[in-house]
Amino acid sequence: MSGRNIMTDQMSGKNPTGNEQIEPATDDSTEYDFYFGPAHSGSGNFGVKLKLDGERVISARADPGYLHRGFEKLMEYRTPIQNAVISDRLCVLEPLNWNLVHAEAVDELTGIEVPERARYIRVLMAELSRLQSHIIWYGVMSLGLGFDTGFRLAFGYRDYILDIFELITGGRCYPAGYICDGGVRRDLPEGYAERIKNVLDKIKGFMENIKSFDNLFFANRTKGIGVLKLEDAIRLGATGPVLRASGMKTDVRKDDPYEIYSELDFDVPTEKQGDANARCTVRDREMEESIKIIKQVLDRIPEGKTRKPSRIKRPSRTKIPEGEVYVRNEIARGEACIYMRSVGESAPYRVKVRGPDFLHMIPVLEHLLKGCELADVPAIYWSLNICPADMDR
Amino acid sequence: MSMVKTLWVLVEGLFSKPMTIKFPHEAIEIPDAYRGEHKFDIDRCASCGFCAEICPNKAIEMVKLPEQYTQKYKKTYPRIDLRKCCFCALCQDICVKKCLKMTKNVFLATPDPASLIKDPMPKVQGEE
Amino acid sequence: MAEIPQQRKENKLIEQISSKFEIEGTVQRDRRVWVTTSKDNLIALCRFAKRLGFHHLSAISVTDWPQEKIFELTYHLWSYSARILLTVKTKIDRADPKIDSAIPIFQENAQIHERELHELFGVQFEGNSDLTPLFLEDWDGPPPFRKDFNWRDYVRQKYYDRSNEREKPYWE
Ligand code: SF4
Ligand code: SF4
Repeated sequence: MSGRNIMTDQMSGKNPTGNEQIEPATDDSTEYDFYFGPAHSGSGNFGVKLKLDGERVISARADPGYLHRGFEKLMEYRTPIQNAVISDRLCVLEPLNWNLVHAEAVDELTGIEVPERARYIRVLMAELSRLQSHIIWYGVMSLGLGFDTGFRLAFGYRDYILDIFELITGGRCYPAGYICDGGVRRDLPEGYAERIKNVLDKIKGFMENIKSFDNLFFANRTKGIGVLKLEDAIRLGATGPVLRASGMKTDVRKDDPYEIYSELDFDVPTEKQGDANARCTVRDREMEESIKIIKQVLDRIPEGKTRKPSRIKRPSRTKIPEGEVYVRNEIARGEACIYMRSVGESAPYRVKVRGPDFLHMIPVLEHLLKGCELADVPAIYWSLNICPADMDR
Repeated sequence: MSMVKTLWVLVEGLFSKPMTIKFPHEAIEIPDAYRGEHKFDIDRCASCGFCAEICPNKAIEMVKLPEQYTQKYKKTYPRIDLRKCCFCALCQDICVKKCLKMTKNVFLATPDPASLIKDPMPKVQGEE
Repeated sequence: MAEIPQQRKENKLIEQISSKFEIEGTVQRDRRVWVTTSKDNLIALCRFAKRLGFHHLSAISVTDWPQEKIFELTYHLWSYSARILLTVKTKIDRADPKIDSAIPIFQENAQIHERELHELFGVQFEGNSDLTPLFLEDWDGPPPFRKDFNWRDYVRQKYYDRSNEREKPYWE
């Protein structure tokens, strides 16, 4: 009993002793409501209302909306270069990937031929961002499983990548639309390749370490937990690592190639089991693939211009040609899409942002939590690598 | 076996250098490209207003200078409200005259919010 | 297995669909097919597409056209096997925004997208039983993502605290 009280305290910050019982039931009933989130360091600004019977979850209902900022509407009032700055904020943990999705949508509408060097820089940054995002995931996953060392290690190593972002984009977390329509906003500084290679070496050391932790801290908490079958995954709209962990070999970078991904050599790791452990393994292996991609890009990056046109245009001079596009990208969490409709004005007429977590956090999470044990909730929750920012928008 | 390795990693961690640094005494180096507080060079400004137009947060307003300067500086000049600014550096990129520059100054925390409004002529408030 | 050239796959897809439904189809580029159909055909078309392998409903989006008095709905479907993105577009009346739900075909996936669009655009999806608001709590204004919704006026009326000096520069 005391164990449960501690969990409650930690997770909701609310008084666990009876106040939470919304419907006082008969004396011998053990059913009660339980709030997971919305104010917890790991859950993000997002809550799940669980209905519990003793320690078993009967049903779960996602409670989004704590981070709704109305980006789709905001973007209708701004020009592409200003929207690029906004697109950072679509997800705190991987702003550069979202920059890329947005920039591609605008590029496809304007039909601008992006310079070769810019394409390489874009992929370089997107992969660094993916790596960084996976490292955060490792951190919060360890935190959720009560393994604090992993959390601290992960966030320490992530900062080495943030140093690179700071060097190249001028900001640690938010690159301020570094990847913008037509290319990237500034060229790479001197000595970037050595710095990146140094950091990659450090990250490799980190990955060796976490592999040795896996058996002790991860495997026994995650094996066989939260099994997502392939047909369920497809029906519920899971994408990215979650879908790959259920046995589907699919990756937007391979199936629907964008930028220079079709020229690069990398694997798409998949697992069969579909449980939380499989999702962890897929991400671990994806980090290795990302490092592989970054190395290839660093070797091949050509000289040349980084943006076309090289100067930023005034908003009153910008025009997006009429048309509509739907671009898909693979970001760390899954499939990220932007539908953009333009009527030939300086701002897009309608932007629809489709984040991977919109489906991972509501249908998939509700499906997986149903019937599990309370102690497994964090393992399932964090194994999906979810973040409310791109769901609420 | 993996237990031994894990313990080894953890023990190793006890003796390696910490990843953090003691902040006020030392700090990590800030790269040149950093987007910090703005620096404005009024003598080169052409008063074109492009910076005010592109600012996504409308943090820049073109204002007239106080009386004593209007002799020399007749036009309007950007006043930056750092409370609204998101440090995107679009104003720096669009400025043709290169008079708006982002510096490496990151120490902007202050108990007095009004001090975060950067007038084009910084001395103005002090002289009154 | 000899690979069919990608472009031909897309043209074949349009042929396949147009043999069954009245559509206007275009191939925008590799892997992008756009078809426009009428409101009544939409569900049947989606069902047909699912049978062709379009299992993944990537997104549903609504575009508001107040002048033409219509809502334009776009359903983005992805096929894992053919690797094509099929976008089905349809138009509904803005004054009476009703359309059949896609739940029978795409289940929970469609459900959640429809729930979102109902909240943000006020489109009624008939057959979707759970259209409770997702993001906005205690919202009493019109659906906020419609073009004729003036958010600035709404916020000013509802949230501008005139006694607070610091809010003045934003609203005066
Ligand atoms: S700071 Fe630069 S962009 Fe702004 S008004 Fe002066 S010259 Fe123009
Ligand atoms: S840095 Fe960006 S937000 Fe700040 S004043 Fe310049 S354009 Fe505006």
